[in-house]
Amino acid sequence: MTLDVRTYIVMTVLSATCSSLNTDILVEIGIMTAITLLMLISSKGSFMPKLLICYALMLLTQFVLFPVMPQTAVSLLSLPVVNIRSFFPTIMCIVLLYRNTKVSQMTATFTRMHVPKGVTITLAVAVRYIPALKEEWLHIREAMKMRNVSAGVRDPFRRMYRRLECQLVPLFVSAINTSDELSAAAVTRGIDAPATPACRNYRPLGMRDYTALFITAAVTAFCVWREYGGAA
Amino acid sequence: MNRANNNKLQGKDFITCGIFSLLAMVGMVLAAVMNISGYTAIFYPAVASFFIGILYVIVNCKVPKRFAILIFGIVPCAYFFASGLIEGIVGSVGIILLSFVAEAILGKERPDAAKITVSGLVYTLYMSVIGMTENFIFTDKYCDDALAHGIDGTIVEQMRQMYGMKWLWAVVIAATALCTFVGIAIGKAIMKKHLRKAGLV
Repeated sequence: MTLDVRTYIVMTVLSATCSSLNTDILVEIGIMTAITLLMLISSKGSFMPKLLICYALMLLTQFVLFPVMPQTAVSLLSLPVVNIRSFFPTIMCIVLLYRNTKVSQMTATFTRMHVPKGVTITLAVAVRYIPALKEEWLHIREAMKMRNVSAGVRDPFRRMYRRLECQLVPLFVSAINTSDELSAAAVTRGIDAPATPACRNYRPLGMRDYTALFITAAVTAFCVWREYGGAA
Repeated sequence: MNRANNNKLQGKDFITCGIFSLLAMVGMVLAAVMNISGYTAIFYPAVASFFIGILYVIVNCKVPKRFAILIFGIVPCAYFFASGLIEGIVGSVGIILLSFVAEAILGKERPDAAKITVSGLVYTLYMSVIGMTENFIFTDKYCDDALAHGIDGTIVEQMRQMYGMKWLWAVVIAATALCTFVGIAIGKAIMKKHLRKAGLV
């Protein structure tokens, strides 16, 4: 089962709102359970057990290990563990959005919503470039390891600059080449054509979208009520 | 094609800006490592601005057209917006406003090295001024929220003391400006040494 891109976007923004407002761990676990269930019934590859294990480890660290750990360790780990843990629902929603949305569907939906062309193309390209960026970064790291680029440079600033240069320049070259290739392909397909593009992949909001939106809105309203409504 | 049309953003410009916009967001996410402790968190804007400064120069040279910076800010804007609540919305609006200011500074004739530096310094102010508003102005609320979320009390008190020193905000802004300046300088050096020679820009 997949939902519409708009549903995923609204869910992401509202889950971030809930994460910021909610301070009750039980509510957070409830939200995480709901998102995990949604991941399980979503398309193949949406469910990521590693994310859940990570979340469980953070819960364990905060509620089991922190009380018995020395103060110095707690001071060091408290901020990153709590911050990342409380934004896990948002991270899960972003994963859902990314894994279940095709770029063509996103573009069609945004076009139908009359989102400016520049914004639509920029976001579509950004989403499509993420896997390529990851792959490119791994290649650069492997190449750097193999050549041992910073060997022999003693000055730490020069060494840092050398490493930065060796990592960033191939990345920028790759990004510029990719943008040129994508541009050529897009121009051939008529990206600059003055006519309004056909929205073949547009899918109107269905019952499942409205249900998901209703549940998300209800949870957000509950979190707002708990924060500002005077609940003890 | 006339000059007016040449100066208008086209499909390929949106694609280039989109890719560099994503790289800017990746830079911001990587810089978030600074949030590992309360003391280093204040340097998050500076580290993020360093990466953004490098990318800012390349975008300006690759797409020397009006509103390219506005498009460059879209993905970071979406990143802020997805982070939720008022801070996220304020951050997104801040990026858009400062993009317009940077566009106004850059003017019609691009790329101009001095204008790129000044506009880049203004553009990255969203990290240090808008991004740090809650920490330095609404310090008590920020620290109370952190405590309620479960952050260790000692850390929260340290943060309360640190954000209570308002002059530190000026230091954060200055450090961010300095890092942006260094980033822009490195960006220009990379352009001169590699990208121009390779005929990519």
